[in-house]
Amino acid sequence: MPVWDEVFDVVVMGSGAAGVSAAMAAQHRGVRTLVLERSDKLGGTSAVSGGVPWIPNNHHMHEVGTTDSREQALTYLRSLSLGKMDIELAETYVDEGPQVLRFIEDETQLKFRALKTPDYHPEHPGGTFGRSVSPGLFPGGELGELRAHLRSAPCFPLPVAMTDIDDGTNMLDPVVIGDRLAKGMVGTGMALMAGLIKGAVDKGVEFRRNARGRRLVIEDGAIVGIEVEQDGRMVRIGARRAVILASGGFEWNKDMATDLMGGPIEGPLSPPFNEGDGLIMAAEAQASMANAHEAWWMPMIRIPGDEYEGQQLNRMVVGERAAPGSIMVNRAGKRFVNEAHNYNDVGRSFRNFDPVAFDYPNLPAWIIIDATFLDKYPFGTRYPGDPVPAWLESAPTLRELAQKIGVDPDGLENTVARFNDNVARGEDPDFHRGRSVYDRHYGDPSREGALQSLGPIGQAPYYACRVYSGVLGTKGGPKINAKAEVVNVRGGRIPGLYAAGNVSGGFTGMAYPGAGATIGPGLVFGHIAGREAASSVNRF
Amino acid sequence: MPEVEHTTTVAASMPQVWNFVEDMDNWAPFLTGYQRHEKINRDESIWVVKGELGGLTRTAEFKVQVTEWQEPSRVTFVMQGVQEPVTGSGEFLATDLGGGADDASSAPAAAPASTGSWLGRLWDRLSRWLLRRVTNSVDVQAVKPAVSGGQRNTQITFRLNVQAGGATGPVLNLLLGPMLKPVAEDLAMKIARSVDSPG
Repeated sequence: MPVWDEVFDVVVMGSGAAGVSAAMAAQHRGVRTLVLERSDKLGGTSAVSGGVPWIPNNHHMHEVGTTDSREQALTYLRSLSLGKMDIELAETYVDEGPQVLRFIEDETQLKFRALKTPDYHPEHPGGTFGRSVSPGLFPGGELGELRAHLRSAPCFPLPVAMTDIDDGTNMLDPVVIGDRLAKGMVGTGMALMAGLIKGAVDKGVEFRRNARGRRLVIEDGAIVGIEVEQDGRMVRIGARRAVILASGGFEWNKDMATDLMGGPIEGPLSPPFNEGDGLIMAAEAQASMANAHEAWWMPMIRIPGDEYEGQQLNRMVVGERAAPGSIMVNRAGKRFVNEAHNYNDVGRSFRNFDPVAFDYPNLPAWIIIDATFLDKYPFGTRYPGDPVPAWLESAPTLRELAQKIGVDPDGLENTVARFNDNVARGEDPDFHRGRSVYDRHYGDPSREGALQSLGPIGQAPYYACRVYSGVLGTKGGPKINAKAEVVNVRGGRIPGLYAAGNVSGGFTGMAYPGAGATIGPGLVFGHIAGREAASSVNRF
Repeated sequence: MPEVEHTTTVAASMPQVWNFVEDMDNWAPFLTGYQRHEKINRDESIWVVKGELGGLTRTAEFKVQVTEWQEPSRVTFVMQGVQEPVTGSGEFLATDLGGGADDASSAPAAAPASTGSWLGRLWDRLSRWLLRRVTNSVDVQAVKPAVSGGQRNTQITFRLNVQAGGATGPVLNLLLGPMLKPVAEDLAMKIARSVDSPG
């Protein structure tokens, strides 16, 4: 047996939702658990997110007037499979999800509420709403000295929760926000992670920051520990029962993204620490890889001067695509997708390939809007009434705008003319925008039907903003079974190695079933990993 | 309107202080988050500053216009965000304290609570909370400038107010105000140190 600097029962690599869920489940069963976090901040990608898990058939759905069942949820998931979904894991997820959500509510101070947010393909068989749940606000002071080390969410700098949207709370009311700030409340993903971390700490889980897992220690084919880079030196930490990989995707590792992803990624929206550490370590242990070419796609914009962790901040665009009076065009000036559709599948359309031109025709892409849009709706960080920022290209005519941004002027003029004609009839026969409940959810609720998402573009000046092919995170990696055990290249399990979250091969294949379909599986398979690891054999 | 005032005493005469402060090149790099500045003329300049809020770092450009030069005791200016809906104004004041003060200390002036009682209390709580966040729970310690016997002393005061406008302005102002305090203290401390120890 190797010489260890320290020994724990279970060592978890990564402090996002999957990692902390795993640690809490393991420690809950009485085994000594350590969480390693590579960066100085705890919370991982989950902390910068909206903090919403997607849990089918959860016990909060009735609060928003809907119901669900195992079969309905699986029908929905199967409809999104295209042969790429791991149905065994999907069944495990649907079966275990509600119990895991209850466990988290029982064992932490987090209390969830179902959101009215529709699934991302709500008209598919089994589609519904209320599967996405939000934790609300959390008093950050409960974390004690760890509060200063909770990862901040750069796109959600104020203490707001997704439930505020359903409640109609004015999130720009200084009295509301001031009161929350004075109470030290945190929201969105910070709330989720603060609650989980607090729950884990209360159980006795140890957290270690600036501790980067580098290599698994393998003995007789079993994982018995991990080599960790900490404070400039390598330490060897023994794991009597298991190492659980929960270290996020590989979207910030340019070489891996180039080699594994089947198309361009122009930028990630996650913290810049997801470099595939866990995937590399699993590969060294002969892990089989699953879903390696897939990611949670997200169209994004960049505002010059915005930085996060020393990198250009990439911002998601949702309402900007869904509100009336915006379209997205490629360099031919043509629309290429229902802009208001869910971000994962809109993001996928950037990677459409033209075999004759041998090119990606939808890159670069631009959002086109007019003065009326800016008068009514937020765009990026700009709100109605604010000065128009320089990062929005502008011109008095569509033709001049097209010339300015390198888009075919005839193409753009024709596209807008056709779009406006169709909008006047209240329809989008080209891409069916506004037909789905989902499209309208992020549109303008003061309008009716498809017009919640459809509006003309005709009031000069005109504006354009470059849209990039982004990812929230990759979702390919070591293949896991229903116990979250990592499977080797021969199909057997790798003793002592578990994985959950974006580091692992995502069972959803190409699909993004609903808001929180990243965090939901992370929590559930993290929990399974921790539970199974805790009850596995003690090897030394 | 988020406003901060900071007063410190330096062991230098008013003309010495004025000579230093009059040329923004001398003290511009002392501003927290300073990136660069460009003097357009004696009164107008463009400043580029990087600030952090909730992990997000943003680089912003401001146009600053001096509205009054009253040598050697007063400079006033106004500022306007080039891309951001932010406006502000500020003032530098110098007062001759005479010579040989025994205790030349650096102390923040009381933060004005000019916007009403509940907001004033909220302001104080936010100030303390944000100050702890910004300084990582370590109190900002203003450096006491060294005072040599017989040296004339000058009290310098910085006053700055910044207001975010637009739809997000009211909530951003909640965050901006407390952030100004350590910035003003830091700037004052560094200027005092430089004037005390020229060259």
